[in-house]
Amino acid sequence: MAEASYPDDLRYHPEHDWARVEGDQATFGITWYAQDALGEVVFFDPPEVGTQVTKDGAYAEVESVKAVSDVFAPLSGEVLEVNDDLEETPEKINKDPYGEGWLVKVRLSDSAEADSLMDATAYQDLLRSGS
Amino acid sequence: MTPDPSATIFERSREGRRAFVPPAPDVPEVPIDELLPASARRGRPAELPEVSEPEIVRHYNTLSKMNFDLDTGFYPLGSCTMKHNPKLHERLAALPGHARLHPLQDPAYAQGALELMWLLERALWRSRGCPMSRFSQARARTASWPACC
Amino acid sequence: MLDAIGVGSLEDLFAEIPEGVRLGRELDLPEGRAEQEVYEELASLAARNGHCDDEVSFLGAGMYDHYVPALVDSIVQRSEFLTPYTPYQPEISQGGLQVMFEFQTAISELTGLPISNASVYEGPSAVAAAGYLAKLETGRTKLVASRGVHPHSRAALRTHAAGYRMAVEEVPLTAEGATDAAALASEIDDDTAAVFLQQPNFLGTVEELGELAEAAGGKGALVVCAADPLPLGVLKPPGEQGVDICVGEGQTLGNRLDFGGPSFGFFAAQERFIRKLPGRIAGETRDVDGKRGFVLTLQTREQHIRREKATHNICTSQALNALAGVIYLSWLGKRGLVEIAELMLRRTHYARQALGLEAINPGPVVREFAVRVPDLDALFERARAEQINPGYRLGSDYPEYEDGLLIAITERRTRADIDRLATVAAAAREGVAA
Repeated sequence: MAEASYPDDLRYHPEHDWARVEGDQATFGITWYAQDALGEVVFFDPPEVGTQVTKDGAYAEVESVKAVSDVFAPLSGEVLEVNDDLEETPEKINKDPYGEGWLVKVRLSDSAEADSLMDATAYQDLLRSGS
Repeated sequence: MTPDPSATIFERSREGRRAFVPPAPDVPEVPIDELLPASARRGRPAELPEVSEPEIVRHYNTLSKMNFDLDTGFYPLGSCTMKHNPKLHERLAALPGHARLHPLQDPAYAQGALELMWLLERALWRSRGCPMSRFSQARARTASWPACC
Repeated sequence: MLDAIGVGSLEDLFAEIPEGVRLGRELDLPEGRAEQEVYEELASLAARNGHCDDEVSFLGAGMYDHYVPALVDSIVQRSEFLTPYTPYQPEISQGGLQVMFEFQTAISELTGLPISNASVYEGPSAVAAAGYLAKLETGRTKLVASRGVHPHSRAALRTHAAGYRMAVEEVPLTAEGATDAAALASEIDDDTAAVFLQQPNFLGTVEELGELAEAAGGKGALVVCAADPLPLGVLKPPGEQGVDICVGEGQTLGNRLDFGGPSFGFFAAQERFIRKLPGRIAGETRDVDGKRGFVLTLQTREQHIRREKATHNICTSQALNALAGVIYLSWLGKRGLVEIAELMLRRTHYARQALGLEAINPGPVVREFAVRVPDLDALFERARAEQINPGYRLGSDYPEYEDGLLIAITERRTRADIDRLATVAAAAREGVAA
């Protein structure tokens, strides 16, 4: 994705992860800023389905040519699904970080946690302040 | 004709070529399957190159010219300080008394080597004021494990 | 030069270093001497060593007196291979990187495993590194090692395993000097991360690798095999027998004995372990003009990027020794490797018969075998008098073989050499002058 974008329908975590909440489930991914900082993603190491993830905890790793980065869970829950396409085409994380580059789908254990996340405006403020 | 520098030694292989000539057999040529059961034997030889000695020489000499090196110019590095090592070292290390000495040789027959190590140990601790030092790891980063005194 | 950089004196360059940590005295080292004097002193030390040109040596036990062709030195001593830095800048290191790539390819071929790194320091630390990979892969805490694995490798494994909090259990050898398959199977449980075997084992026995690997694999433990690359010329590749990781000592490939000095270790594995492999890996790529080139790759495994989560702390390779290895393998070639292994097989067989000593491991061997010697001291005394080194005394590593002797027959040991040892052994038995 060539230009920075931060969709309004998502919630954002200060470690540059997003969550799309739908009822008691959510989809997680990394933001445009994160994929841009990493560079070309070459590998995504997913958690197993069934793993418990905890808000603010690292649950996976994303690798680019020159760096490895922990991916942080914006919310807590149980991993229901993992994006298997990323094994063959990890570059989807760069090209479409909010769509085809989604990482995991989770059943939330505490939907109220979403209130503590930022909206798109607050997240962009964070980026501008040079986090 | 300049060989294609990017060809690997495997790609230069031509069936039937050889560099090594085995020593003449001087023991009975017992069939190999009497010495090694089929279950343990290789089905087909490892696909190593079949090349002659001059081909090996040209291949690696050509590759060497694609390297920058310290004897040609300097490296402004701090991480691994690239200094000149006196050429005498290669001559000394190649002396049979050093080069052809087995590590498990009876210490009574390795006194020269052991004294050499002792002299170096002393020089290291004298220069650092440490009571003793250890030879084990091959490079600085792994040496941080056992740690000098 | 001080003028050129605008500095008053040499002392000014160290002005940043606090007084409290300065040495405050001259280094207590001897004065520098003339090259000639240094040569005389170190050459006289060399002259006091009993080396393989001075004696007929049957000493093996992990490092061997093989013939290294003149070809190796003529290439390895070239400045462009001897003196460059690590190839972090591929544009000035294509020669060294291509050598690494060729080396990796050769190791893959020998071991029957699809991936290989560009070398590690030596055999024992490669074995220890495999233990760490098994921990990363399985999360389990136990390692099981056959007593057929080299004592130094088992010791290195224990040392490293203690650091990453794993226990090492050992499995005995049978009366025939091979790994006890039943004992191995019963030692392996759901907490076993890896099983360690060696081919040929330390006594020289050719192990039934396929059966042993099967016993191990059943509980999800990784199978690690330490192997000597030269016998792999005739032995079935570990990768074709259920082995997950094959490591080993590379000294036999074109490297000197050097009193145990620099050689290389190799590390090869099944494809699924590629992101957990230790050490450097050279990869093939294309440059901006579309031409083939080589680079260090998958560097995100290494500690300069991944820090405490790195797959190992090694940040280097034994590139020069590995170069000697790949030159040597190219010199032997596809047929030569088979020929040299077959020569050793036949000479070793001849030696076992000629010596007529009781076999510790009577089964198939390639280049080394173990025998019982009623009076080892007497044998060594007579042998030394004839400038013969009869081999390695097993007692210190294997109390179960207190009277054991490990004899290595490389391609340098001729029939005449073997006959001389046989004469000495016979004389020692009879207690008469040879």
